[in-house]
Amino acid sequence: MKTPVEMASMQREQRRSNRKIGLVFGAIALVFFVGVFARMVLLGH
Amino acid sequence: MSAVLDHPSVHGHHSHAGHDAHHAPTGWRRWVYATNHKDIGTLYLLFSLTMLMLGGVLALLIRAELFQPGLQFVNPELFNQLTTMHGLIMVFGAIMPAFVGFANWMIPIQIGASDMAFARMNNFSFWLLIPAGVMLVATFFMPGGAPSGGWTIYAPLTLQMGPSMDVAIFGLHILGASSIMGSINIIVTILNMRAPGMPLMKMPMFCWTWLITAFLLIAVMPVLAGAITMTLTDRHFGTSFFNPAGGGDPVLFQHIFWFFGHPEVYIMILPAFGIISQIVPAFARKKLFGYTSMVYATSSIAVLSFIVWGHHMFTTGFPVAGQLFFMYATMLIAVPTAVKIFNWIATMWRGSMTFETPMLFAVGFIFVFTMGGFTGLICAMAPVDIQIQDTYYVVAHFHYVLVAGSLYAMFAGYYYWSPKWTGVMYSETRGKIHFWWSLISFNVTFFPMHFLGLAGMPRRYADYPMQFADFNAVASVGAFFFGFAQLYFVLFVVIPAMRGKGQPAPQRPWEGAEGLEWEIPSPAPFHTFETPPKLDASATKIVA
Repeated sequence: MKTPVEMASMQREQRRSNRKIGLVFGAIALVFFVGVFARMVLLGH
Repeated sequence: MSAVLDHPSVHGHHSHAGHDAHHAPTGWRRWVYATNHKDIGTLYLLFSLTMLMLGGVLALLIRAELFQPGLQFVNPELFNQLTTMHGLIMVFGAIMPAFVGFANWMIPIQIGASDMAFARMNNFSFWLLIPAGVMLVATFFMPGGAPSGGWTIYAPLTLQMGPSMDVAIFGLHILGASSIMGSINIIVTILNMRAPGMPLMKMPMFCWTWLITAFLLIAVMPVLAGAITMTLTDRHFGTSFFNPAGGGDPVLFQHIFWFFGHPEVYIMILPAFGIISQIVPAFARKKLFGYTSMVYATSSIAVLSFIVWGHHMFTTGFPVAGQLFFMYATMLIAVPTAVKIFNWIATMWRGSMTFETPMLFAVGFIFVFTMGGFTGLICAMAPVDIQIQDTYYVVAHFHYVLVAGSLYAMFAGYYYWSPKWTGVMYSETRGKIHFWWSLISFNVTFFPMHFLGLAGMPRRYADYPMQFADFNAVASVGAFFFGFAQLYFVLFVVIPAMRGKGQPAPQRPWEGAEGLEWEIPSPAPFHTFETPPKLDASATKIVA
Protein backbone atom coordinates (compact mmCIF):
# COMPACT_ATOMS: atom_id res chain seq x y z
CA MET A 1 0.00 0.00 0.00
CA LYS A 2 1.21 3.45 -0.84
CA THR A 3 0.61 5.88 1.98
CA PRO A 4 -0.22 9.47 1.05
CA VAL A 5 3.15 10.71 2.28
CA GLU A 6 4.83 8.46 -0.25
CA MET A 7 2.75 9.67 -3.14
CA ALA A 8 4.25 11.37 -6.13
CA SER A 9 2.99 14.84 -5.34
CA MET A 10 4.45 14.81 -1.83
CA GLN A 11 8.09 15.44 -2.65
CA ARG A 12 10.68 15.91 0.06
CA GLU A 13 10.62 19.71 -0.42
CA GLN A 14 6.87 19.74 -0.12
CA ARG A 15 6.97 17.76 3.10
CA ARG A 16 9.71 19.98 4.51
CA SER A 17 7.75 23.08 3.64
CA ASN A 18 4.57 21.59 5.17
CA ARG A 19 6.48 20.79 8.35
CA LYS A 20 7.80 24.33 8.59
CA ILE A 21 4.35 25.92 8.36
CA GLY A 22 2.90 23.29 10.68
CA LEU A 23 5.53 24.00 13.31
CA VAL A 24 4.83 27.73 13.11
CA PHE A 25 1.15 27.19 13.83
CA GLY A 26 1.92 24.59 16.50
CA ALA A 27 4.18 27.14 18.17
CA ILE A 28 1.41 29.75 17.99
CA ALA A 29 -0.98 27.35 19.74
CA LEU A 30 1.64 26.69 22.43
CA VAL A 31 2.20 30.41 22.95
CA PHE A 32 -1.54 30.94 23.42
CA PHE A 33 -1.67 28.11 25.98
CA VAL A 34 1.31 29.38 27.92
CA GLY A 35 0.12 32.95 27.44
CA VAL A 36 -3.09 32.30 29.37
CA PHE A 37 -1.04 31.17 32.36
CA ALA A 38 1.45 33.98 31.95
CA ARG A 39 -1.37 36.51 31.95
CA MET A 40 -2.91 35.05 35.08
CA VAL A 41 0.17 34.05 37.05
CA LEU A 42 2.69 36.76 36.22
CA LEU A 43 0.42 39.75 35.85
CA GLY A 44 -2.31 38.73 38.27
CA HIS A 45 -5.97 39.21 37.51
CA MET B 1 -19.88 5.40 4.41
CA SER B 2 -16.96 5.19 2.08
CA ALA B 3 -18.03 2.60 -0.42
CA VAL B 4 -14.95 3.30 -2.50
CA LEU B 5 -13.69 -0.23 -2.54
CA ASP B 6 -17.07 -1.77 -3.11
CA HIS B 7 -17.52 -0.42 -6.61
CA PRO B 8 -14.52 -1.49 -8.63
CA SER B 9 -16.36 -0.97 -11.89
CA VAL B 10 -16.33 2.77 -11.39
CA HIS B 11 -12.58 2.99 -10.95
CA GLY B 12 -9.84 3.49 -13.37
CA HIS B 13 -11.55 5.40 -16.10
CA HIS B 14 -10.34 8.85 -15.27
CA SER B 15 -6.94 10.25 -15.95
CA HIS B 16 -6.64 12.32 -12.79
CA ALA B 17 -8.52 10.24 -10.40
CA GLY B 18 -6.37 7.71 -8.65
CA HIS B 19 -5.34 4.75 -10.71
CA ASP B 20 -4.32 2.63 -7.81
CA ALA B 21 -7.49 1.90 -5.93
CA HIS B 22 -6.26 -1.70 -5.85
CA HIS B 23 -3.49 -0.51 -3.49
CA ALA B 24 -6.09 0.32 -0.90
CA PRO B 25 -5.68 -1.58 2.35
CA THR B 26 -8.42 -3.85 3.61
CA GLY B 27 -9.83 -5.07 6.89
CA TRP B 28 -9.32 -3.40 10.25
CA ARG B 29 -5.87 -2.13 9.26
CA ARG B 30 -7.52 0.12 6.70
CA TRP B 31 -9.24 2.04 9.48
CA VAL B 32 -6.83 1.77 12.42
CA TYR B 33 -3.77 2.73 10.37
CA ALA B 34 -5.72 5.01 8.04
CA THR B 35 -3.73 7.82 6.50
CA ASN B 36 -6.07 8.39 3.58
CA HIS B 37 -8.05 11.59 3.98
CA LYS B 38 -11.24 10.00 2.68
CA ASP B 39 -11.08 7.11 5.15
CA ILE B 40 -10.28 9.46 8.02
CA GLY B 41 -13.13 11.71 6.91
CA THR B 42 -15.45 8.72 7.02
CA LEU B 43 -14.21 7.80 10.50
CA TYR B 44 -14.82 11.34 11.73
CA LEU B 45 -18.33 11.36 10.27
CA LEU B 46 -19.22 7.98 11.80
CA PHE B 47 -17.84 9.05 15.18
CA SER B 48 -19.83 12.27 15.14
CA LEU B 49 -22.98 10.44 14.05
CA THR B 50 -22.58 8.08 17.01
CA MET B 51 -22.08 10.99 19.38
CA LEU B 52 -25.06 12.79 17.83
CA MET B 53 -27.22 9.79 18.64
CA LEU B 54 -25.83 9.59 22.19
CA GLY B 55 -26.33 13.31 22.77
CA GLY B 56 -29.79 12.97 21.25
CA VAL B 57 -30.74 10.24 23.73
CA LEU B 58 -29.68 12.56 26.58
CA ALA B 59 -31.80 15.34 25.03
CA LEU B 60 -34.82 13.05 24.89
CA LEU B 61 -34.33 12.09 28.54
CA ILE B 62 -34.32 15.81 29.38
CA ARG B 63 -37.48 16.41 27.35
CA ALA B 64 -39.18 13.33 28.82
CA GLU B 65 -38.61 14.73 32.29
CA LEU B 66 -39.88 18.16 31.24
CA PHE B 67 -43.00 16.79 29.53
CA GLN B 68 -45.01 17.66 32.61
CA PRO B 69 -44.38 19.43 35.93
CA GLY B 70 -43.02 17.42 38.83
CA LEU B 71 -40.26 14.84 38.88
CA GLN B 72 -41.11 11.74 36.83
CA PHE B 73 -38.02 9.98 35.51
CA VAL B 74 -34.85 11.56 36.86
CA ASN B 75 -33.84 13.37 40.02
CA PRO B 76 -32.55 16.96 39.79
CA GLU B 77 -28.91 15.87 40.16
CA LEU B 78 -29.14 13.49 37.23
CA PHE B 79 -31.07 16.10 35.25
CA ASN B 80 -28.16 18.53 35.62
CA GLN B 81 -25.77 15.80 34.52
CA LEU B 82 -27.93 15.19 31.47
CA THR B 83 -28.00 18.85 30.40
CA THR B 84 -24.25 19.19 30.98
CA MET B 85 -23.27 16.09 29.09
CA HIS B 86 -25.79 16.76 26.31
CA GLY B 87 -24.05 20.08 25.69
CA LEU B 88 -20.49 18.76 25.94
CA ILE B 89 -21.18 15.71 23.76
CA MET B 90 -23.01 17.69 21.08
CA VAL B 91 -20.48 20.55 20.91
CA PHE B 92 -17.21 18.63 21.23
CA GLY B 93 -18.26 15.16 20.12
CA ALA B 94 -20.82 15.72 17.39
CA ILE B 95 -20.66 19.11 15.67
CA MET B 96 -16.93 19.81 15.69
CA PRO B 97 -15.79 16.33 14.56
CA ALA B 98 -18.51 16.24 11.91
CA PHE B 99 -17.18 19.38 10.26
CA VAL B 100 -13.63 18.00 10.49
CA GLY B 101 -14.99 14.93 8.71
CA PHE B 102 -16.39 17.10 5.93
CA ALA B 103 -13.06 18.94 5.79
CA ASN B 104 -11.07 15.73 5.53
CA TRP B 105 -13.23 14.40 2.75
CA MET B 106 -13.65 17.53 0.69
CA ILE B 107 -10.75 19.96 1.15
CA PRO B 108 -7.99 17.92 -0.54
CA ILE B 109 -10.35 17.06 -3.40
CA GLN B 110 -11.60 20.63 -3.78
CA ILE B 111 -8.11 22.11 -3.96
CA GLY B 112 -6.62 19.34 -6.11
CA ALA B 113 -4.30 17.99 -3.41
CA SER B 114 -3.34 14.35 -3.07
CA ASP B 115 -4.14 14.19 0.64
CA MET B 116 -3.92 16.21 3.83
CA ALA B 117 -0.50 17.69 4.56
CA PHE B 118 0.19 15.53 7.62
CA ALA B 119 -1.42 12.21 6.92
CA ARG B 120 -0.17 10.38 10.02
CA MET B 121 -1.02 13.26 12.33
CA ASN B 122 -4.46 13.15 10.74
CA ASN B 123 -4.81 9.55 11.88
CA PHE B 124 -3.63 10.52 15.38
CA SER B 125 -6.09 13.44 15.53
CA PHE B 126 -8.97 11.09 14.84
CA TRP B 127 -7.98 8.26 17.14
CA LEU B 128 -7.55 10.70 20.03
CA LEU B 129 -11.27 11.29 19.81
CA ILE B 130 -12.19 7.75 20.80
CA PRO B 131 -10.65 7.71 24.31
CA ALA B 132 -11.88 11.28 24.84
CA GLY B 133 -15.43 10.34 23.84
CA VAL B 134 -15.33 7.20 25.97
CA MET B 135 -14.08 9.22 28.94
CA LEU B 136 -16.87 11.77 28.60
CA VAL B 137 -19.56 9.10 28.42
CA ALA B 138 -17.94 7.00 31.17
CA THR B 139 -18.30 9.84 33.68
CA PHE B 140 -21.95 8.81 34.07
CA PHE B 141 -20.76 5.62 35.75
CA MET B 142 -18.32 7.26 38.16
CA PRO B 143 -18.94 7.99 41.85
CA GLY B 144 -21.12 11.09 42.07
CA GLY B 145 -22.16 10.78 38.44
CA ALA B 146 -21.18 12.89 35.46
CA PRO B 147 -20.19 16.57 35.69
CA SER B 148 -23.28 18.65 36.31
CA GLY B 149 -22.14 22.26 36.25
CA GLY B 150 -23.38 22.94 32.72
CA TRP B 151 -21.42 22.64 29.47
CA THR B 152 -19.77 25.95 30.37
CA ILE B 153 -18.07 24.16 33.32
CA TYR B 154 -18.26 27.28 35.46
CA ALA B 155 -16.25 27.65 38.64
CA PRO B 156 -16.86 27.31 41.54
CA LEU B 157 -19.24 24.43 40.69
CA THR B 158 -16.43 22.57 38.95
CA LEU B 159 -14.23 22.97 42.01
CA GLN B 160 -16.78 21.18 44.18
CA MET B 161 -17.55 18.17 42.00
CA GLY B 162 -16.46 14.55 42.25
CA PRO B 163 -13.75 12.71 40.31
CA SER B 164 -15.78 12.70 37.10
CA MET B 165 -14.85 16.35 36.65
CA ASP B 166 -11.18 15.40 36.37
CA VAL B 167 -11.99 12.78 33.78
CA ALA B 168 -14.09 15.27 31.81
CA ILE B 169 -11.26 17.83 31.97
CA PHE B 170 -8.81 15.22 30.68
CA GLY B 171 -11.26 14.31 27.92
CA LEU B 172 -11.61 17.96 26.93
CA HIS B 173 -7.83 18.37 26.90
CA ILE B 174 -7.55 15.45 24.50
CA LEU B 175 -10.36 16.78 22.31
CA GLY B 176 -8.62 20.16 22.25
CA ALA B 177 -5.30 18.62 21.24
CA SER B 178 -7.08 16.72 18.48
CA SER B 179 -8.76 19.89 17.25
CA ILE B 180 -5.49 21.83 17.22
CA MET B 181 -3.72 19.13 15.24
CA GLY B 182 -6.66 18.92 12.85
CA SER B 183 -6.58 22.69 12.37
CA ILE B 184 -2.85 22.77 11.68
CA ASN B 185 -3.39 20.03 9.12
CA ILE B 186 -6.16 21.95 7.41
CA ILE B 187 -4.26 25.25 7.35
CA VAL B 188 -1.09 23.71 5.93
CA THR B 189 -3.05 21.68 3.39
CA ILE B 190 -4.88 24.75 2.13
CA LEU B 191 -1.92 27.14 2.18
CA ASN B 192 0.69 24.77 0.82
CA MET B 193 -0.94 22.06 -1.24
CA ARG B 194 -3.34 23.74 -3.64
CA ALA B 195 -3.06 22.65 -7.25
CA PRO B 196 -1.26 25.10 -9.56
CA GLY B 197 -3.82 27.50 -10.97
CA MET B 198 -5.88 27.72 -7.79
CA PRO B 199 -5.13 31.00 -6.03
CA LEU B 200 -6.75 31.57 -2.65
CA MET B 201 -9.38 33.85 -4.16
CA LYS B 202 -10.57 31.11 -6.50
CA MET B 203 -10.83 28.50 -3.79
CA PRO B 204 -14.26 26.97 -3.07
CA MET B 205 -16.04 28.77 -0.23
CA PHE B 206 -16.07 25.63 1.91
CA CYS B 207 -12.25 25.68 1.95
CA TRP B 208 -12.24 29.38 2.77
CA THR B 209 -14.62 29.03 5.68
CA TRP B 210 -12.61 26.09 7.02
CA LEU B 211 -9.32 27.97 6.67
CA ILE B 212 -10.72 30.80 8.79
CA THR B 213 -12.27 28.32 11.24
CA ALA B 214 -8.91 26.57 11.63
CA PHE B 215 -7.26 29.88 12.55
CA LEU B 216 -9.98 30.43 15.14
CA LEU B 217 -9.44 26.96 16.58
CA ILE B 218 -5.70 27.46 16.92
CA ALA B 219 -6.29 30.74 18.71
CA VAL B 220 -8.95 29.62 21.19
CA MET B 221 -8.55 25.92 21.94
CA PRO B 222 -5.32 26.59 23.89
CA VAL B 223 -7.24 29.19 25.90
CA LEU B 224 -9.84 26.59 26.87
CA ALA B 225 -7.02 24.18 27.69
CA GLY B 226 -5.49 26.86 29.93
CA ALA B 227 -8.80 27.51 31.71
CA ILE B 228 -9.50 23.86 32.45
CA THR B 229 -5.88 23.27 33.50
CA MET B 230 -6.30 26.06 36.02
CA THR B 231 -9.52 24.41 37.17
CA LEU B 232 -7.55 21.21 37.64
CA THR B 233 -4.80 22.92 39.65
CA ASP B 234 -7.46 24.64 41.75
CA ARG B 235 -9.02 21.26 42.45
CA HIS B 236 -5.87 19.36 43.31
CA PHE B 237 -2.77 21.52 43.63
CA GLY B 238 -3.79 24.26 46.03
CA THR B 239 -4.03 27.15 43.59
CA SER B 240 -6.88 29.65 43.76
CA PHE B 241 -7.40 31.00 40.28
CA PHE B 242 -11.15 30.64 40.54
CA ASN B 243 -11.68 29.64 44.13
CA PRO B 244 -13.07 32.54 46.17
CA ALA B 245 -12.13 30.76 49.41
CA GLY B 246 -8.47 31.27 48.49
CA GLY B 247 -8.87 34.76 47.03
CA GLY B 248 -9.65 33.61 43.49
CA ASP B 249 -12.38 34.93 41.25
CA PRO B 250 -15.06 32.67 39.69
CA VAL B 251 -15.96 35.42 37.22
CA LEU B 252 -12.39 35.22 35.89
CA PHE B 253 -13.22 31.72 34.68
CA GLN B 254 -16.20 33.10 32.78
CA HIS B 255 -13.99 35.67 31.06
CA ILE B 256 -11.50 33.02 29.95
CA PHE B 257 -14.17 30.49 29.05
CA TRP B 258 -16.14 32.91 26.88
CA PHE B 259 -12.98 34.22 25.22
CA PHE B 260 -12.87 30.66 23.94
CA GLY B 261 -16.63 30.11 23.91
CA HIS B 262 -17.77 32.80 21.57
CA PRO B 263 -15.28 32.07 18.78
CA GLU B 264 -16.30 28.46 19.38
CA VAL B 265 -19.82 29.40 18.30
CA TYR B 266 -18.39 30.59 14.98
CA ILE B 267 -16.19 27.50 14.75
CA MET B 268 -19.46 25.58 14.73
CA ILE B 269 -21.18 27.78 12.15
CA LEU B 270 -18.55 29.04 9.66
CA PRO B 271 -18.03 25.62 8.00
CA ALA B 272 -21.83 25.43 7.79
CA PHE B 273 -21.78 28.73 5.89
CA GLY B 274 -19.21 27.18 3.58
CA ILE B 275 -21.40 24.17 2.82
CA ILE B 276 -24.41 26.38 2.11
CA SER B 277 -22.26 28.58 -0.16
CA GLN B 278 -21.46 25.48 -2.22
CA ILE B 279 -25.01 24.17 -2.45
CA VAL B 280 -27.03 27.32 -3.19
CA PRO B 281 -25.15 28.16 -6.44
CA ALA B 282 -25.35 24.52 -7.57
CA PHE B 283 -29.14 24.36 -7.32
CA ALA B 284 -29.74 27.94 -8.46
CA ARG B 285 -27.48 27.21 -11.45
CA LYS B 286 -25.68 30.49 -10.98
CA LYS B 287 -22.30 31.61 -9.73
CA LEU B 288 -22.17 32.49 -6.04
CA PHE B 289 -23.13 36.15 -5.77
CA GLY B 290 -20.39 38.28 -4.17
CA TYR B 291 -17.67 35.66 -3.69
CA THR B 292 -15.13 38.25 -2.52
CA SER B 293 -17.56 39.83 -0.08
CA MET B 294 -18.32 36.34 1.27
CA VAL B 295 -14.62 35.82 2.02
CA TYR B 296 -14.32 39.20 3.72
CA ALA B 297 -17.58 38.72 5.62
CA THR B 298 -16.36 35.37 6.94
CA SER B 299 -13.06 36.94 8.01
CA SER B 300 -14.87 39.84 9.67
CA ILE B 301 -17.08 37.47 11.64
CA ALA B 302 -13.95 35.63 12.81
CA VAL B 303 -12.18 38.83 13.90
CA LEU B 304 -15.25 40.23 15.64
CA SER B 305 -15.79 36.95 17.49
CA PHE B 306 -12.78 37.81 19.69
CA ILE B 307 -14.27 41.02 21.06
CA VAL B 308 -17.79 39.99 22.02
CA TRP B 309 -17.30 37.47 24.83
CA GLY B 310 -18.72 39.85 27.44
CA HIS B 311 -22.25 39.53 26.05
CA HIS B 312 -22.46 36.17 27.83
CA MET B 313 -21.77 37.92 31.11
CA PHE B 314 -24.04 40.95 31.27
CA THR B 315 -25.42 39.83 34.65
CA THR B 316 -22.04 39.43 36.35
CA GLY B 317 -21.79 43.07 37.36
CA PHE B 318 -20.21 44.53 34.26
CA PRO B 319 -19.75 48.32 34.28
CA VAL B 320 -22.17 50.08 31.92
CA ALA B 321 -19.35 51.10 29.57
CA GLY B 322 -18.38 47.44 29.26
CA GLN B 323 -21.97 46.42 28.62
CA LEU B 324 -22.28 49.04 25.90
CA PHE B 325 -19.03 47.98 24.25
CA PHE B 326 -19.96 44.30 24.13
CA MET B 327 -23.54 45.10 23.09
CA TYR B 328 -22.50 47.20 20.09
CA ALA B 329 -19.63 44.91 19.12
CA THR B 330 -22.04 41.99 19.12
CA MET B 331 -24.57 43.83 17.00
CA LEU B 332 -21.79 44.64 14.54
CA ILE B 333 -21.55 40.91 13.73
CA ALA B 334 -25.03 41.17 12.21
CA VAL B 335 -23.48 43.17 9.33
CA PRO B 336 -21.16 40.51 7.83
CA THR B 337 -23.70 37.82 8.67
CA ALA B 338 -26.36 39.74 6.75
CA VAL B 339 -23.92 40.11 3.85
CA LYS B 340 -23.81 36.34 3.65
CA ILE B 341 -27.58 35.91 3.90
CA PHE B 342 -28.19 38.58 1.23
CA ASN B 343 -25.56 37.00 -1.02
CA TRP B 344 -27.26 33.60 -0.80
CA ILE B 345 -30.61 35.20 -1.60
CA ALA B 346 -29.05 37.18 -4.47
CA THR B 347 -27.54 33.94 -5.78
CA MET B 348 -31.00 32.39 -5.82
CA TRP B 349 -32.59 35.47 -7.37
CA ARG B 350 -33.68 34.66 -10.93
CA GLY B 351 -31.79 31.38 -10.78
CA SER B 352 -33.11 28.20 -12.40
CA MET B 353 -33.79 26.69 -9.04
CA THR B 354 -34.71 23.12 -8.26
CA PHE B 355 -35.31 21.80 -4.80
CA GLU B 356 -33.58 18.49 -4.34
CA THR B 357 -32.88 17.52 -0.72
CA PRO B 358 -29.54 19.38 -0.38
CA MET B 359 -31.20 22.59 -1.58
CA LEU B 360 -34.19 22.05 0.70
CA PHE B 361 -31.88 21.79 3.69
CA ALA B 362 -29.90 24.81 2.45
CA VAL B 363 -33.01 26.97 2.09
CA GLY B 364 -34.30 25.61 5.41
CA PHE B 365 -30.95 26.58 6.93
CA ILE B 366 -31.16 30.15 5.63
CA PHE B 367 -34.74 30.59 6.84
CA VAL B 368 -34.42 29.06 10.30
CA PHE B 369 -30.84 30.15 10.99
CA THR B 370 -31.90 33.73 10.27
CA MET B 371 -34.55 33.41 12.97
CA GLY B 372 -31.81 32.27 15.36
CA GLY B 373 -29.70 35.21 14.23
CA PHE B 374 -32.47 37.68 15.01
CA THR B 375 -33.07 36.27 18.48
CA GLY B 376 -29.30 36.58 18.90
CA LEU B 377 -29.63 40.30 18.28
CA ILE B 378 -32.34 40.47 20.93
CA CYS B 379 -30.08 38.63 23.38
CA ALA B 380 -27.26 41.03 22.50
CA MET B 381 -29.16 43.99 23.94
CA ALA B 382 -27.89 44.29 27.49
CA PRO B 383 -31.13 45.52 29.09
CA VAL B 384 -33.10 42.72 27.43
CA ASP B 385 -30.47 40.09 28.10
CA ILE B 386 -30.45 40.86 31.80
CA GLN B 387 -34.13 39.81 31.78
CA ILE B 388 -33.78 36.68 29.67
CA GLN B 389 -30.34 35.53 30.89
CA ASP B 390 -30.35 31.77 31.54
CA THR B 391 -33.97 31.37 30.46
CA TYR B 392 -35.41 29.13 27.77
CA TYR B 393 -35.28 32.09 25.37
CA VAL B 394 -31.51 31.61 25.23
CA VAL B 395 -31.97 27.82 24.87
CA ALA B 396 -34.30 28.46 21.92
CA HIS B 397 -31.85 30.96 20.41
CA PHE B 398 -28.79 28.74 20.38
CA HIS B 399 -30.71 25.67 19.23
CA TYR B 400 -32.00 27.68 16.28
CA VAL B 401 -28.39 28.51 15.48
CA LEU B 402 -26.79 25.15 16.19
CA VAL B 403 -29.47 22.67 15.18
CA ALA B 404 -31.15 24.53 12.36
CA GLY B 405 -27.79 26.08 11.54
CA SER B 406 -24.92 23.65 11.94
CA LEU B 407 -26.90 20.39 11.83
CA TYR B 408 -29.04 21.36 8.84
CA ALA B 409 -25.92 22.43 6.95
CA MET B 410 -24.39 19.03 7.72
CA PHE B 411 -27.49 17.28 6.40
CA ALA B 412 -27.37 19.51 3.32
CA GLY B 413 -23.69 18.66 2.88
CA TYR B 414 -24.34 14.96 3.37
CA TYR B 415 -27.05 14.83 0.70
CA TYR B 416 -24.94 16.99 -1.64
CA TRP B 417 -21.67 15.08 -1.36
CA SER B 418 -22.76 11.56 -0.34
CA PRO B 419 -23.08 10.44 -4.00
CA LYS B 420 -19.38 11.28 -4.33
CA TRP B 421 -18.54 9.50 -1.08
CA THR B 422 -20.56 6.36 -1.52
CA GLY B 423 -21.08 6.06 -5.27
CA VAL B 424 -24.83 5.70 -4.88
CA MET B 425 -27.66 8.21 -4.98
CA TYR B 426 -29.81 8.53 -1.89
CA SER B 427 -33.57 8.18 -2.26
CA GLU B 428 -34.96 11.64 -3.02
CA THR B 429 -38.30 10.70 -1.46
CA ARG B 430 -36.60 9.65 1.77
CA GLY B 431 -34.47 12.78 1.76
CA LYS B 432 -37.55 14.98 1.41
CA ILE B 433 -39.36 13.07 4.16
CA HIS B 434 -36.33 13.58 6.38
CA PHE B 435 -36.24 17.31 5.60
CA TRP B 436 -39.92 18.10 6.20
CA TRP B 437 -40.12 15.83 9.24
CA SER B 438 -37.05 17.54 10.73
CA LEU B 439 -38.13 21.08 9.85
CA ILE B 440 -41.60 20.77 11.34
CA SER B 441 -40.59 18.85 14.46
CA PHE B 442 -37.62 21.16 15.06
CA ASN B 443 -39.89 24.19 15.12
CA VAL B 444 -42.48 22.42 17.26
CA THR B 445 -39.69 21.69 19.74
CA PHE B 446 -37.88 24.97 19.93
CA PHE B 447 -40.31 27.72 18.93
CA PRO B 448 -42.40 27.38 22.13
CA MET B 449 -39.20 27.76 24.15
CA HIS B 450 -39.12 31.45 23.18
CA PHE B 451 -42.43 31.93 24.99
CA LEU B 452 -41.27 29.88 27.97
CA GLY B 453 -38.15 32.03 28.25
CA LEU B 454 -40.02 35.30 27.93
CA ALA B 455 -42.39 34.08 30.65
CA GLY B 456 -39.38 33.49 32.88
CA MET B 457 -38.74 29.76 32.83
CA PRO B 458 -35.07 29.21 33.76
CA ARG B 459 -32.90 26.66 31.99
CA ARG B 460 -31.29 23.67 33.76
CA TYR B 461 -34.26 23.03 36.07
CA ALA B 462 -35.84 19.58 36.32
CA ASP B 463 -39.20 20.92 37.49
CA TYR B 464 -41.36 23.96 36.81
CA PRO B 465 -44.66 25.55 37.84
CA MET B 466 -47.97 24.69 36.15
CA GLN B 467 -47.96 27.92 34.12
CA PHE B 468 -45.22 26.48 31.86
CA ALA B 469 -46.86 23.07 31.36
CA ASP B 470 -48.49 23.48 27.94
CA PHE B 471 -45.50 24.81 26.01
CA ASN B 472 -43.23 22.24 27.65
CA ALA B 473 -45.54 19.41 26.62
CA VAL B 474 -45.53 20.67 23.03
CA ALA B 475 -41.74 21.00 23.03
CA SER B 476 -41.30 17.47 24.37
CA VAL B 477 -43.60 15.97 21.73
CA GLY B 478 -41.70 17.87 19.03
CA ALA B 479 -38.37 16.68 20.42
CA PHE B 480 -39.36 13.02 20.19
CA PHE B 481 -40.58 13.53 16.62
CA PHE B 482 -37.29 15.26 15.80
CA GLY B 483 -35.35 12.40 17.37
CA PHE B 484 -37.26 9.82 15.33
CA ALA B 485 -36.62 11.86 12.17
CA GLN B 486 -32.89 11.49 12.76
CA LEU B 487 -33.29 7.77 13.44
CA TYR B 488 -35.11 7.57 10.09
CA PHE B 489 -32.15 9.38 8.48
CA VAL B 490 -29.67 6.89 9.89
CA LEU B 491 -31.73 3.76 9.15
CA PHE B 492 -33.15 4.66 5.75
CA VAL B 493 -30.63 7.06 4.24
CA VAL B 494 -27.17 6.55 5.74
CA ILE B 495 -27.10 2.78 6.25
CA PRO B 496 -28.44 1.94 2.76
CA ALA B 497 -25.81 4.28 1.29
CA MET B 498 -23.06 2.57 3.30
CA ARG B 499 -24.26 -0.76 1.94
CA GLY B 500 -24.12 0.60 -1.60
CA LYS B 501 -27.90 0.36 -2.06
CA GLY B 502 -29.31 2.83 -4.56
CA GLN B 503 -28.86 4.02 -8.11
CA PRO B 504 -25.20 4.36 -9.13
CA ALA B 505 -24.20 8.00 -8.81
CA PRO B 506 -22.90 9.75 -11.92
CA GLN B 507 -19.68 11.75 -11.77
CA ARG B 508 -21.65 14.98 -11.49
CA PRO B 509 -25.10 14.24 -10.05
CA TRP B 510 -26.03 17.93 -9.82
CA GLU B 511 -26.34 19.79 -13.09
CA GLY B 512 -25.22 23.14 -11.72
CA ALA B 513 -22.46 21.91 -9.43
CA GLU B 514 -18.96 23.20 -10.06
CA GLY B 515 -15.64 22.29 -8.51
CA LEU B 516 -12.93 19.67 -8.69
CA GLU B 517 -14.94 17.12 -6.68
CA TRP B 518 -17.22 16.78 -9.68
CA GLU B 519 -14.26 16.16 -12.00
CA ILE B 520 -13.50 12.76 -10.44
CA PRO B 521 -15.64 9.61 -10.61
CA SER B 522 -18.26 8.61 -8.08
CA PRO B 523 -17.38 7.12 -5.68
CA ALA B 524 -14.15 9.05 -5.33
CA PRO B 525 -11.22 6.70 -5.95
CA PHE B 526 -9.02 5.81 -3.00
CA HIS B 527 -6.25 8.12 -4.23
CA THR B 528 -6.98 11.29 -6.12
CA PHE B 529 -4.76 13.93 -7.71
CA GLU B 530 -1.50 12.06 -7.17
CA THR B 531 -0.12 14.38 -9.82
CA PRO B 532 -1.41 17.94 -9.52
CA PRO B 533 -4.20 18.59 -12.04
CA LYS B 534 -4.07 21.36 -14.65
CA LEU B 535 -6.97 23.69 -14.07
CA ASP B 536 -8.93 26.05 -16.28
CA ALA B 537 -9.07 29.79 -15.59
CA SER B 538 -11.97 29.42 -13.18
CA ALA B 539 -10.08 26.73 -11.21
CA THR B 540 -13.20 24.57 -11.25
CA LYS B 541 -12.39 22.23 -14.13
CA ILE B 542 -9.50 20.01 -15.12
CA VAL B 543 -8.21 20.82 -18.60
CA ALA B 544 -5.62 18.12 -19.16
